[in-house]
Amino acid sequence: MLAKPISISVILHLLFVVIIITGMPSFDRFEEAPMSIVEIELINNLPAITQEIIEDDSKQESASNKKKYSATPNVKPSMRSEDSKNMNILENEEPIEKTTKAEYQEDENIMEFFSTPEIKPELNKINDKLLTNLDYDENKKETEKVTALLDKFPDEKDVGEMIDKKPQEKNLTSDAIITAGEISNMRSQIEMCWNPPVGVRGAASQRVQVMITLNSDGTISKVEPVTRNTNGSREVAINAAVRAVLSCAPYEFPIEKYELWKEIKFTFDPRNMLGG
Amino acid sequence: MINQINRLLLLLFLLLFYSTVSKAALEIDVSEGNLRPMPIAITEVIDKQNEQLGLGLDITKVIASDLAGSGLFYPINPKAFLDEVNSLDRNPDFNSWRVVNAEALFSAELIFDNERYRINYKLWDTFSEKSLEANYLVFSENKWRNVAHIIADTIYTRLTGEKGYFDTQIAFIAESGPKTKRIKRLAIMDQDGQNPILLTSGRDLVLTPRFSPNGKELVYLSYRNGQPQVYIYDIQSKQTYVVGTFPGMTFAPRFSPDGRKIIMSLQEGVGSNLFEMDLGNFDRKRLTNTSDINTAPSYSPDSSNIVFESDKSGTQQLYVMDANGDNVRRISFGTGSYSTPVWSPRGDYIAFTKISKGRFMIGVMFADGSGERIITDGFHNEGPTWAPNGRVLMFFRESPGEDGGAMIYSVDITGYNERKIETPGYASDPSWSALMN
Repeated sequence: MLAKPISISVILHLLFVVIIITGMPSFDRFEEAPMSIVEIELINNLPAITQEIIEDDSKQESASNKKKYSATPNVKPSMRSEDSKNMNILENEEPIEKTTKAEYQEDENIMEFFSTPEIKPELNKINDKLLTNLDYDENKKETEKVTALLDKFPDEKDVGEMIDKKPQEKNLTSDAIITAGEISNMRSQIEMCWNPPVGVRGAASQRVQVMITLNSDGTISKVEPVTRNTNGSREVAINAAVRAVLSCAPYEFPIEKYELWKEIKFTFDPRNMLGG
Repeated sequence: MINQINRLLLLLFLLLFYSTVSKAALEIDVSEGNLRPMPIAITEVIDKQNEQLGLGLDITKVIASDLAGSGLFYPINPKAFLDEVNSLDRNPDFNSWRVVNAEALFSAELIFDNERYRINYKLWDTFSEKSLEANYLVFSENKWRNVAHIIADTIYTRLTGEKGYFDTQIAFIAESGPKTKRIKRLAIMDQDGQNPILLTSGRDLVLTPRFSPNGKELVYLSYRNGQPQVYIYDIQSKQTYVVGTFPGMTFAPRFSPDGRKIIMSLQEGVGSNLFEMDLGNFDRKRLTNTSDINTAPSYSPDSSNIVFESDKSGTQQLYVMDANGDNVRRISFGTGSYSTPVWSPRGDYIAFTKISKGRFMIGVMFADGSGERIITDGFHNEGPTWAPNGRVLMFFRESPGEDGGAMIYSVDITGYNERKIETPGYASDPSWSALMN
C-alpha cells in the first residue's frame, strides 16, 4: 500500500542526490572549458618564478636548497626535449642560464632518483604535448597574473600601515564570517592553556563542552559548562576545561567580528591526545 | 542503501536548516592541549602555637614531594609567591596566585590540643576561585607522615579525578653482602622510601613478598628448614605462619582481592601447577593439572579471572583462565617470553616482564592481550607491581657487574617519570600495598 509513495520518495531522493553530486544544470558551461590547461601551465611556470625569488632573496643559498623548494624536476624533461617550442619560452625568461652546470647535473640525478628511466620519455611527451597547446601570450598572461599576485604581498612598511588602519578600514557587516584561519587562531590560543587530566579512568573519553560569553576586549564575562557533572572524573575534566578558558583570557579575536564570537561553545575532546 | 540515503538527506536538510535559521554561538573544537604538570602553590602549613618545632614545614615538604613525584604536579617554589596565607578563614587573593601561574592553591593550619594535632586544610582552584576541598584530620605526632600522605592523596584525587597512592607501603627484599653470598631479608617501607623496617634476620633466603589487601600481612617464599615453602608474616604481631602442608615446594604466592585465599604454585615432578588455598578452612583447590610449568598467578580485581604464566607452548607465555581453572586462553603472542603477570587494580591492564633478545623489559597489555606496550627496557628489569590506582608501576632493575645489584624504580604506565626509590641498600621484588587509611 505504501509501495507507491515510497518509490516516489525514493526517486525524488535519488534525483536530489544526483543534483547534489552533479550540481544544478548549467546553461553557460562553455565558459569554463579552457580552465584546466591554464592550471597545468601555471605549474610549469612556477619554477621560473621561484627561481627569481630565490635569486633575489639570498644569493648564497645552496644549490641543493634551491632544488628542494623549486619544482625543477617537473620542468626539466620538457627543457631537455630540444625541439619543443617551450624551450624558447622558458629560455626567454632565463631560468636555466642561472643554474650552474653542476647543479643541473644534480638535478638529473634527482630525476633518476624520483622517476625511473622508463617513465621519463613518457613524462616528456605529456609535458611537450601540453605545452605545445599553449601559445606564448597566454603563457605570459598567466605569468603576469602570478606576478601581480605576488606583488600584492605588501612589504614590511605596508604591513605596519595595514595593521594600523585595520579597525577603521573594515566595516562591521552583518554577513561577515569567521574564517577558518581565524577559528584556527582561536583554537590555538586555547590549546596552549588546556591541560586535560590524564590519570583518570577513561581519560580519553572525557569530552567536555563549555559555553563562554566574551566582552569585546576579549575578556570573559561568563563561563558555563554545558556538560553535566556526573562523577568525580567528569568534574575534574570540566574543571580543567573551565580553567583553560579562564587562564587563556583575554583573547585576541578580530574586534570587527565581535558579534560573531561574543558567544563561543568550546568542545574539549582529548581523544586525539590520549588515544582512545 | 535507501535507508542510508534517506539518513544522509535528512542530515543535509537539518544542516541547511540549522545554518540558515539558527544564529547559534560559534563552536570551536579543541582536540590538542598542552600536557604538563599542573602548577600548584603549596603554602607552608601554619603552626602558630609551635612553629619552632617545624612540624608544619615537614608536613608541607612531604605533601609537595609526593605531588611532584607523581609527575602530574609542579609545586611552585615558595620564593616566587607574591602573597602568603595567614589564615584559612578568609579567601586568598586569587589574583596574586594566578600571577605566579598557580592553577591550584593548598593551605593548611595546625592546632595542638589535648596531646593531639588537628590539621585544617583547604584546596582552591585559583581560576574559577572556588574551594575544591575543605577538611580536617586529627592525629598524634608520630603519624604526621601518614597525615601528609593522606592529604597529598586528597589533593591528587581532587585535581586528577583518580585515587591517590601516597599513603601506601612497599614490601620488598632488602639485599646486602657480596653478589655471590647475598643476604636477603624481608622488609617494608613507605612508598617514598621512608621508614624502612627489616622484618626477618637474613638467616633464611626469602623471596617474592606480596601484601595482603588490608596491608597487615605479607605472603612470601622462605627457604626456612631447607624446604622452600609459602609463609605468611603478620606485620603487627611479627608472627610467621606456614601456608598448609604441601608435598613439594610451594612458591609464587599471592592473596586473592578479598584477602581470604592464597593462590600459589606447587612443584609436581618437573612441572608445577596452580592451587588456591582458603585461609578460613584451609581447603585447597587444584586449578591446573598439566605437566607444564604453570606459575606466577594473579587474580583480576573482581576475582573472576586469573592470569598466570605457562610454558605449555614451549616458551613462557601469559594465559588467562576463569577463577575455577576453566577456559584457559593464551593472551601473549609477541616475540620472546613473558613472565610475572600482575593484574592492575583497575582491571584494565596486565603488567609483565618480557624477555626478548637477552633484554628484560617491563610492559603492559590489556587483559585480552591486545595493546602491548613496553614501558621500560634494559639489561635486567623484572617483577612489576601496581600502585593501588593502577596508574604507576614499581619494578626492580639489576645493574650488571661484580658489584651490581637490584634497585627499585617507579614509573608511570605511560612510560614517563621513571624514578629510583631510595633504599638503604640493594632492594628487589617490590610489592605495593593498598591505601593504608
